Amino acid sequence: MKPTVTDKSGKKNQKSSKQKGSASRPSSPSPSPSSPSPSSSPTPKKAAESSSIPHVVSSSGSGPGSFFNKKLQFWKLHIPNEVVFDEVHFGKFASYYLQGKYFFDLHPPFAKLALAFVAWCAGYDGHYLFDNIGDRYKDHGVPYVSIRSWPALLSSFVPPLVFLIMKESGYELPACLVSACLVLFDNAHVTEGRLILLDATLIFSMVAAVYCYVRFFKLRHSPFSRAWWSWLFLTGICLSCTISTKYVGTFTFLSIGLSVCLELWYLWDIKTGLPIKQFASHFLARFFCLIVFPFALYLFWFFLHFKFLPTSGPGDSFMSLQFQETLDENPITANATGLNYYDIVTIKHMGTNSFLHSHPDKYPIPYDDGRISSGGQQVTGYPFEDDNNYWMVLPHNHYADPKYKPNMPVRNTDYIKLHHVGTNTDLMTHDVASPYHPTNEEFTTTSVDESAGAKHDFTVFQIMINDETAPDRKVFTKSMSFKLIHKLTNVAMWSDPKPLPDWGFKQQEINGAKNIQTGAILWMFDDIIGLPEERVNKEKRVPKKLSFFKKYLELQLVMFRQNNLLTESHPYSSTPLDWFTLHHGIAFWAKNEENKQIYLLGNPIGWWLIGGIVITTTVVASAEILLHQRGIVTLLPSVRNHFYRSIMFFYATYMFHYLPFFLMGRQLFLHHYLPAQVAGAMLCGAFIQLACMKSFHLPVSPGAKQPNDVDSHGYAKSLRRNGYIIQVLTSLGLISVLSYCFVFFAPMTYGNASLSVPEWLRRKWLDSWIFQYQK
Amino acid sequence: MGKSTPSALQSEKQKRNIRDVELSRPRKFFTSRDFGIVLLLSVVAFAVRVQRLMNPSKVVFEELRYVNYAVDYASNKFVMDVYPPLGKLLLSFGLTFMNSNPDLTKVSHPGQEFPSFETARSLRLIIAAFGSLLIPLMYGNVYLSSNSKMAAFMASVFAIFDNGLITMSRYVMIEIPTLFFMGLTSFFWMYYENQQKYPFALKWHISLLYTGISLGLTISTKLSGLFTLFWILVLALFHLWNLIGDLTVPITRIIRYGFNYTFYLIGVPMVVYLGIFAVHSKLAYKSNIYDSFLTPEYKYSLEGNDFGEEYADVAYGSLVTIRNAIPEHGYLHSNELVYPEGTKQQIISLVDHPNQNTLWIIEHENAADNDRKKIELLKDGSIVRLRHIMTGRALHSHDHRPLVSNHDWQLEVSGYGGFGFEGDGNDLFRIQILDRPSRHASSNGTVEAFNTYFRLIHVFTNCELMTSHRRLPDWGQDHREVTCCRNCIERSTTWVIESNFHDAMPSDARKTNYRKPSFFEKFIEANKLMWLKDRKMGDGHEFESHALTWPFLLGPLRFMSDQNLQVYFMGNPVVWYSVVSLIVFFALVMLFFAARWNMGYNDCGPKFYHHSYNIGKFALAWFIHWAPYILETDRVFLYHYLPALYFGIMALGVGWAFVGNVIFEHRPAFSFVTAAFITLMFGVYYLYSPFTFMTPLTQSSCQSLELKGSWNFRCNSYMESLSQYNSGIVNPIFYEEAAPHPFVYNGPAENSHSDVPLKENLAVYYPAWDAQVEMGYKIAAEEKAAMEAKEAASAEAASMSSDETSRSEPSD
Repeated sequence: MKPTVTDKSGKKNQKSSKQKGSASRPSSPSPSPSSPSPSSSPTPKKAAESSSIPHVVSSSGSGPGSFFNKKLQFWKLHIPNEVVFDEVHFGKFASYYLQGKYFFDLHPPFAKLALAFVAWCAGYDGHYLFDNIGDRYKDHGVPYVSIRSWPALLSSFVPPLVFLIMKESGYELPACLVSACLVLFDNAHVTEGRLILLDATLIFSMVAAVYCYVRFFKLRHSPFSRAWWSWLFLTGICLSCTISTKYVGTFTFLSIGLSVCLELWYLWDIKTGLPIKQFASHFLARFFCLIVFPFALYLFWFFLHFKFLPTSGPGDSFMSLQFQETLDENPITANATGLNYYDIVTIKHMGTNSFLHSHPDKYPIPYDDGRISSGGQQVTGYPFEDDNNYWMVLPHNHYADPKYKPNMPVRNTDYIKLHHVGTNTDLMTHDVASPYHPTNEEFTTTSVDESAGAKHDFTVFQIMINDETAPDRKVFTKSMSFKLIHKLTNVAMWSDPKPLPDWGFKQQEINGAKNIQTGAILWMFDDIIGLPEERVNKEKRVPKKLSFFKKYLELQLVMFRQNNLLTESHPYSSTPLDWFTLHHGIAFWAKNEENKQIYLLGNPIGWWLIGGIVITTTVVASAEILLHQRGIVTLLPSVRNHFYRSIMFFYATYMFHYLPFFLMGRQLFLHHYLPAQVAGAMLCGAFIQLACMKSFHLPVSPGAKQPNDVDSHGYAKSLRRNGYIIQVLTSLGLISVLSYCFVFFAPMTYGNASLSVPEWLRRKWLDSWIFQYQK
Repeated sequence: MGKSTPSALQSEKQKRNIRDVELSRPRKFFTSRDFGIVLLLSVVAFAVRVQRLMNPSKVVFEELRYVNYAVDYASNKFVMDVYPPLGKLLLSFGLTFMNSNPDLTKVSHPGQEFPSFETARSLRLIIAAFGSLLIPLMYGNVYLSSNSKMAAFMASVFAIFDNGLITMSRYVMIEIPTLFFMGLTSFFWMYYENQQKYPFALKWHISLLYTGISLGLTISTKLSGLFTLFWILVLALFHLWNLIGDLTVPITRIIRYGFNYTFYLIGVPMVVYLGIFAVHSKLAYKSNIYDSFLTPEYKYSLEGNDFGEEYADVAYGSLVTIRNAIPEHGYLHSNELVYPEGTKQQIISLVDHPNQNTLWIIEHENAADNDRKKIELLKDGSIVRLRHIMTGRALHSHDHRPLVSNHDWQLEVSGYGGFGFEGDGNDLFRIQILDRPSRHASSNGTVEAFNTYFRLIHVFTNCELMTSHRRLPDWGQDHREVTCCRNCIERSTTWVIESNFHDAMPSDARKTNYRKPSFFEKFIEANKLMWLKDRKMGDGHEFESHALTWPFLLGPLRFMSDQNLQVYFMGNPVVWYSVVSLIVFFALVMLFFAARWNMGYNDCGPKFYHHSYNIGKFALAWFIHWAPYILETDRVFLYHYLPALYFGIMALGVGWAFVGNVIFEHRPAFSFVTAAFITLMFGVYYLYSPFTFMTPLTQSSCQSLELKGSWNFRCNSYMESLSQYNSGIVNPIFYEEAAPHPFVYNGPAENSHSDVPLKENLAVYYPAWDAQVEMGYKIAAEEKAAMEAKEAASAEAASMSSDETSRSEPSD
């Protein structure tokens, strides 16, 4: 929302500065003689923080926060010494990286690679797979404290960064402290940040991206300077890390992206006076640094991902056969055999793992609903080994020239016939509706005589290897999937898992689908029956190569597809509305005998405060917009400007990280709210300053023109008397309540203390928080 | 307000708000000449829509559902659907109105010959009538927004000859009635916009009231009417926004506007919606097959339900059936089957209908306390053992993962023990009464049949008995799975007692039944069901298509193929492509002028704003009625685009008026161009009409009509020449399957139906049970004696851990 209503005041300022004939790029101190230069002596109550040009940040401000946070994050890191909640997954992935075994996960690889790297540095070899929640690390010799220290380290940088963002955005010390403490004393952040999970990396990179972007935005009056380029570039890196950790990073992209778009729209404005050429370079700089470069970096992690996972592992089954063939020790390459004509094979459907099957029983001529079948022999899918799964591959002209030619390989795009060995018939299809799908063609078989004569055309199929167009490529078993296209009617052999009625022995329906592009029509030659010894391949096969981009695209598609399948209900999943009110948490780990547990729960006071302030901001902003349309001035132009550029930016960041979850169909958990919570914390600090002081210290960005409506100390003229004192008192009160509440809920954050039942009950503020304890 | 108000502030207002939309355009509408044109157009439309109306006289696609609904309503049976009731009510009214003695036979599958020709024809005629009424509405909408008769005429003709609109107007589905109400809403709103000269006058109020009523009718027909509501609200807010910016309008007046909008555009539709539901529940009061998803309370309020009165108080020793609180989940059940792997103990599951296998007896923790002559009521916190009466096993849970829901937070639930073997501590469950859904007659904390909702908490592992949303595979007869879940707060952990019998209960003991819900409770429940079902309808349909492909008409939808003839739902390509081109062009123009404006050019006069508002509001309607389907991937079909198309044609009409006004400046050439455009459109309509009216076509001309590969008309099923159509060779019939009905349970049938009617004969089970228990104890005692004798003989051969033996599965 930053430059939303790139309000008239801003434009006017620019205009007036031009009219006054001062430099159009106002890098010099403000020309107005009445206002003091920014470096003039500050009033004592502002203390050291707001002393000088805002982008020089005193290190004293971030010092204590940082120290406390490290203390909070690292405190009792070795407890619990057991596997906690999703450590099951992410610890396991680290082990797979160290073993080099291919695995599949929904999240991009960056944070997992980092965890694996840390584990490797700690001397861990990845022998243990983090099987169950509650397993003892000591029994398995895992350096879990070292691994946990990495997320804890990243996580402890978050509150200082929040502090710096607020500082850089021009807020007073109390506001910065409130924002930082809302994150610092937040039980959910601490819980998530000290275990082997991805959220610490995610939130750190998100906050870092916002920080870099704020620094970059402040330099808009000296574009293309070295600092400008660096911060822009750093924003890109942080954004890339965010999205390479989890896909919710997209929301960070959107929040910053919207702001960038509005900024560009502002630059395009006639009153800005940029020549088209310069506008183009502005555009290209952002395009390259915020889109092209981050994407390249994102791909780089995938490159490393494939590099470090060369061996076949538990993730094989998610990938295509082609992909699996690129892995070391994969069972497919080892068993693949070239297919010759007159081989007897079994043919397996890729989606349902059923074999192409036929038996002497016929389709019933009228179906139950009165439609008519051909009454031919049934062709079905059957998932178990059976003699009726045997088919002989014949050349299409076999009956015209019935001579057995040995060792003639089947090649891609060949026309073939499939001969059912058990019933001595040939596979065919024709324009008769299949049992369940009136739009699809029925598959049946026909006698050898007819296949040689009248029905010849109906029995000819073409083999099309998936993703392979070269016609001379030999067909192998196991390692290739193919489509079987009917030559005459151009349908593909397809199967549907819905079982046929009793007349079909509950086997699967097989029919001809008109759509020959979907994935459900892929089949695979599984085994050659009675394969002669000399054709069995003995030498060790070398894994095949596949270009990186093909691998990446495939993995990306599988990730999206799997993500959409995650719809099953989970007892700890929650809805976005629950997060807003902290309706319930997640039981991470529990030790019933000792009445210890880790329960993911935010600092209730902090979360409810953020919720309240989000609602209030919505009301205030809508009211302001309505009144402004009516021509009623409620905020001074400079304050209004700051409100829409900074406070509404935090607001938009919050909304971008929160609202999209309402549209998602998959399972959601409380920790999905954490990025929004950080944005909410910043909004809180900013809003409290607006409410208490009704003013900001302006201008924030170096080089910006001094607004007309600020007083001699650089504050907007609407400054409330004693506003600063009110703010200090409010903030102190808030911080003490927050820290008390944090300590109160700390036992379930660290899982270190055994509390008695009444003590647990005292912490159960809402009935929906389910703690585990034994009476 | 308005332009014509003489005021000193007039010029200031114009300066401030140059973008203010000129809403006041007093215009005389419906002169007799207009009336003649509109009447003519409607007659033509009706004639087009009813030609060969009963061809085919077979059930087409989703007609299956709506014909049955109409028949159900006509015989006062309860109907539940994902759409609100108005559309079906109208069909049913039409049915009884147009036939003095309607044939109320239901149809069973698409492609079936209609049982009664007259009934089917009357239903199709109603739809055709609605379809023809779309035309005057189109004329009125375009005329009121563009003030151009030529444009209004053109848009109406486009709507008459769009093959898509025609096809949908011929079959019994509720898309067209919905569309009619949408058009009506839009018409009244446009009429309202023309009343701005005399705000708050009677006509002003009436036009707004009519807008509200027709909005209500739209929403009561199909929930996609909410898109229309949203659209109208956006337009109203836009108007308010302009008023706020107009300093000549006093604040009080703006508030008055806001109040009126809220009342007419939100309040009135809500009342209408409620009213339609009231009619629905007055008319459909008999129990029907659709009630399997209803709560039992709702079911109980329907005539012909099968709930009888039961004793209110539940005590130890009571014989009960236990139902899950989720209505369609059914009754706690067990039989002799065992889990095929793992513990191999007896399966516990849920079935949909009570039978003797769903009977459980409530026992004390200690067998010694069981005394069937005494009545000790169940309370909150009572510890119980639930014993299955037919097999004697107790409900049991233990630290094993279930076979189907193999998660670490779930535990297996099984039947354990047997006649003569009491079982162990893992059989014990604690009753926790939930205050929320429970409706106690007495507030002493006892369990009451029907009214007390409770959880069953396993005492040892502290987990809650629940149903997962999955079904067991073949080995579990496809019943619903029962597991025990730690920390689940879902509704599936809530249970209620339904049948309740105790032989020591005095005959005058208090009896109870479900409480009949009030109208509002029923209303809320029906709406909840509608929303939830609408969101997850489950199985996809083969011919659903993605919304992004609709505007470009990528894949026609085949409704039917019969005797070498076919029906396709497809639009008139000229109409569809003109609409989408206009909208894209309009969006580009807007973007272009916005960029120009930001660059400092202000080259758009009031005339431009006026026209772009009028095109823009219909373009917005197009977008609002189309875009939400992009997010929806389940069960969306090409014909869901029709509302967007209808508004798109309006936008096209207004855009055409703009072209006539600005480019041609009303020269005669404009009429010629318009005529040429209409001729082109009509020609294309004629070419594609065989797919619409199911008329003969040759294979070669079919192939020449296939402009895009993706259209894929099955040309092979046509004859090679037209003369062959008389020779009587027919292909087998193909039809499109209708989607499975969302509110009819079509899972596996129960395979353990009892011969004994359960309700009347609960007492039968008690003596049988006693005999079995006695026999069981006798056998157990004999076995024990034999065992002891054996043990004495082997004389401490090995030191068996007595723990282990008592924990292991008893042999039976």
